[in-house]
Formats: sequence, structure tokens, C-alpha cells
Amino acid sequence: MLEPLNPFMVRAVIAVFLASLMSTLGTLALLRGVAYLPAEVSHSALGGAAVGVYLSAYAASWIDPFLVAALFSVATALTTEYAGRREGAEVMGAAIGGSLAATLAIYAFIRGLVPGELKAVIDGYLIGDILLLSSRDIIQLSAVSILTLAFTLLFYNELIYICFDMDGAEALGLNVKLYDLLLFALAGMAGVVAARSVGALLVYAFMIAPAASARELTNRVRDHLILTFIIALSSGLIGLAAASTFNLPASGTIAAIPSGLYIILLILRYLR
Amino acid sequence: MDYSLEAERLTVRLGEAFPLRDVSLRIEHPTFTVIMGPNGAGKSTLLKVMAGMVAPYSGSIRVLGLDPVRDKTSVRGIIGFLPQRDRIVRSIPLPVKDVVLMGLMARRRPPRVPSPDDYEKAWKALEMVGLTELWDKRFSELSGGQQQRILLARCIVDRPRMLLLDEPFSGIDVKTQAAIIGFLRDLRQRMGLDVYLVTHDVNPLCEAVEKVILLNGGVVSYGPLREVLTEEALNRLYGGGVRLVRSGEACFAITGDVHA
Repeated sequence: MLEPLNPFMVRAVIAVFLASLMSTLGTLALLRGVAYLPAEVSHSALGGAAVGVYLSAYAASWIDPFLVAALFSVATALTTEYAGRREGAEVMGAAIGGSLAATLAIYAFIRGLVPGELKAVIDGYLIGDILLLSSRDIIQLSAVSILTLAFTLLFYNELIYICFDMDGAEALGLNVKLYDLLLFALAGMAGVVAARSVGALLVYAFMIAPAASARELTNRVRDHLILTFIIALSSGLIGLAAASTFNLPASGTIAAIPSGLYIILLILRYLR
Repeated sequence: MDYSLEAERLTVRLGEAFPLRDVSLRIEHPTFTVIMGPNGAGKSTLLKVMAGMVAPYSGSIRVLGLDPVRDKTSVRGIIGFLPQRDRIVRSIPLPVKDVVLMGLMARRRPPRVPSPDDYEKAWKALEMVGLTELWDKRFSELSGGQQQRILLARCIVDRPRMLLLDEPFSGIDVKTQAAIIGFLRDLRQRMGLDVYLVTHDVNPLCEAVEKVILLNGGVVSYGPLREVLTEEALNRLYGGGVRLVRSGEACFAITGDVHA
């Protein structure tokens, strides 16, 4: 069992807090009708992480894999938005599928080229281990999270307006293309923070399940965002404590809680 | 002479399609004009061009003397636009007051924080559509008719000079349709507002409407309702299967082409 003030545990708690803040972007993605987006784009971060790890090992050591992963994630999100705007919402799925296929191919290709110790670094983005985050990781995650949250709060009304009524907002003079791109970019950033914290495989549980659970519990937009954060944070902290106490895999335990809560809420709704 | 709408050989291209071709129109201000036509006739596109949301491919258009592309900001400042029902995500649980305030806030620069004066304007707009008791209710929990009237309040909250309404009666019961028509007629008469309304069903509007545009890519016919709305013109527009029954000022066009 890890002590609560153990540096690994402290960093894990901070990462849970940051990923919980980012889970509110899951709510905005849900309102925009692309609930899957943060989770899906976080998988394209894998390709970026692989490229970043390869380049920093063999070409330029100053290149940071996390930033390359973030770049891939945001680029995929923006490509999806552009495809949806040009060709209609139904094309978004194809665009994201295409981007994912390309980035996962890059991931698999580079993973096959590098030695074992670099494979482990790349795979850290896939599976993730919140207890193994370094201080540098925490600084990066904090910077990206604060930036993402600041933009979300600053343009909260605009993001809600375009989720609610894109045409009406445009007719009122809002630059809907810009704000829609911003929303997708923010969802991409949120996805990469969550992927670095709990691993890309478990981002679904952290970015979608709390938002979906919160929707079962409230019918107010602001409460929905706050509840999403509370569910994600409490799931993270309870999961960390349980993993530490019972010697379980931390990321898996954290992800199981919001998913379980969502399933329980769904069952309760059907029983009502 | 003030013109509400002047279009000269207006052509619009969206991707590979040309929803509007060579549309030429001159409509005097003020007006209450209904735009009719089958699905894909370019009705919504015409409203979007007027609102500056879609740029013409060729030709020109002026709205109350302004170019919707060059004078985009000015045009958007004088227009109240009601989108089609299915374009709005009605499940988002926004408070009614926030929906009405959107009509003011979305025109401002960030941060868009409403002042007490903005709240007063929103309350008055809601008062005009007779729904102040819904001020704190969730928009998503209201009936289709109530939602539509609240969206109308959003349209008028910033005192526009022109309303562009895209199928406002879709999914609305007859009683609410009558209330909305009475409200629009009142606005038209008291405030001199121009009203352009896309509909598939002109029947409830017969007494209110002044001009009708029959559109099918281009203008099939335009003029006063009694002159334009003939069985022959409607059959040409919809490809047959339309019957027109008149009774005094009232008319009943029975068409088979309606939105789901």
C-alpha cells in the first residue's frame, strides 16, 4: 500500500484532479453531439507519442513526445470538425475513423522499429499508469489543462450557443466556424491529458462515463458540467485509494468506477 | 421607394449543387411574404443568403438596401432568424431566459455577461409572446409550440427590422399556429417589420400574408397571394396532385409534400 504523501501518490492525485477537470470537456462534446470525440482523438495521440518518442531518441532529444501526441490529437479533432462542416455530421465518423487508422498505423509501425525500452514508453500512452507519472509529466499536464480550462471558461457561452443552435448563432453574428474549431481543439487537448493520466484505452471511462452519468442526475447545463467534474474526481480518488489499499492496477480501478456508476444509473432509470 | 429585398440574377452554389439559379426579385418594404416550394427548392438557402450566412455564387442581393456579404455585421444586426426546427438541439436543458438572452449576447463581444437592462429586454420579449411564466423553466422540457414562441422571442429581443422564419409551423398545433400568426401580423403592423416565412402550408396564413414567392431553384411565380396561388401554379411547382379550395378570404391548398 502506498502512503498518501508518497510522491507517486501525490502526483497521481494531481493527475486525477487535472483529468477530472478535462472530463467537463466530455460534457461539452456530449452536448455538441460528438460524445466519443475526446476518447477517439486520444487514440490518435498514440501515433503522435510514437513519432515523438522516435524523434527524441534518434533525431532531436529536445522533442517532447507529449507535445507531439497533443499535436496529433488536436489535428485529428480539427480534421473531424472540418469534415463535418464541409460534408455533414455523418461524415465525421468516417473522418475520425480515417485519422485513427492512419495514426494507429504510425503507432504500430514505429513500435515495431524501436527497442524494448522505447516500446514501454510508447505503450505508456496506451495503457497508462497514473502512479508512474513524473514531475515533468505533471507540469506538462497542468499547463495543458489550465490552458484548456481557461479557453473553455472564457468562451463558455459561445460554445453552448453553437451546441444549441449553430444556424441561429451564425445568423446572430457569432463566428461559428471559429468556435466550433475551438470546441473540437479543446476536446482534443482534454483527450490527450486524460490519455497521459489514465491511458488511451481508459479515456472512454473517464471522458464519457462521468458526463453520461451526470446527465442522468441533472437537467441543468451548468450543474451537468459541475457534476461531471465531481463524479470524475471522486471516481479517481476512490479508485486510487482502492488500488493502493488492495494492490490493484490503478488506471483500471479508476476507470471501473464511473463506468459502473453509469451502468447502475441506467438500470435505475429502466426500473423506474 | 424602399425595398425590402432586391435580388438580381442571384445564383447560389453549395458544393456541386445550385439550389438557387438566376433569381430576380424586388419586394417593397414593409412586407409579409411567404416562400413556398417543394423540398430542395432553395427556400432555406434564400433565407440564409438574406441573413449573410451563405454568399451568392453570382448575381447580387440587397436586404433593406444592404449587401449581406459586404455589410454582414449591419445585416445581422437588423435580422431576426428562426432556423428550421430540426437544426436546433432542443434536448440541451438551457433555461428559457438564456435562450432569449442569446439573441442579445451572441451579437456582443466576449465576455458576454448580460446586464440588468439585457434581462429587462429579454423579459419584455418573452412578454410579447405571452410566456413570462416560463422564464426559469428548461427549454428542453417545453412543448414544441412553446419552444417555437420562445425562439421567436429570441428573434425579436434586439428589435430587428426583418424576421426570417424557416418553417416556424413545423410540428406545431393549429392553436399555436394561429397565436404565432396573430403575433407576426401584429409585429408587421405595429413595428413595420418585414416578415419572410418559409412554409409548406399556406392555409393558416391566407389572411395575414401579402405576397407569395413560389420557388423551385428559380422564381416560379411572385405576387399577391390571390394572383400567385392558383391551382395551375401549385401543380407546376409540386409536379401535380395539388387542389386549391377558396372560401372568401380563406384558401386551402392541399399538397402532398410536407416535411416529416
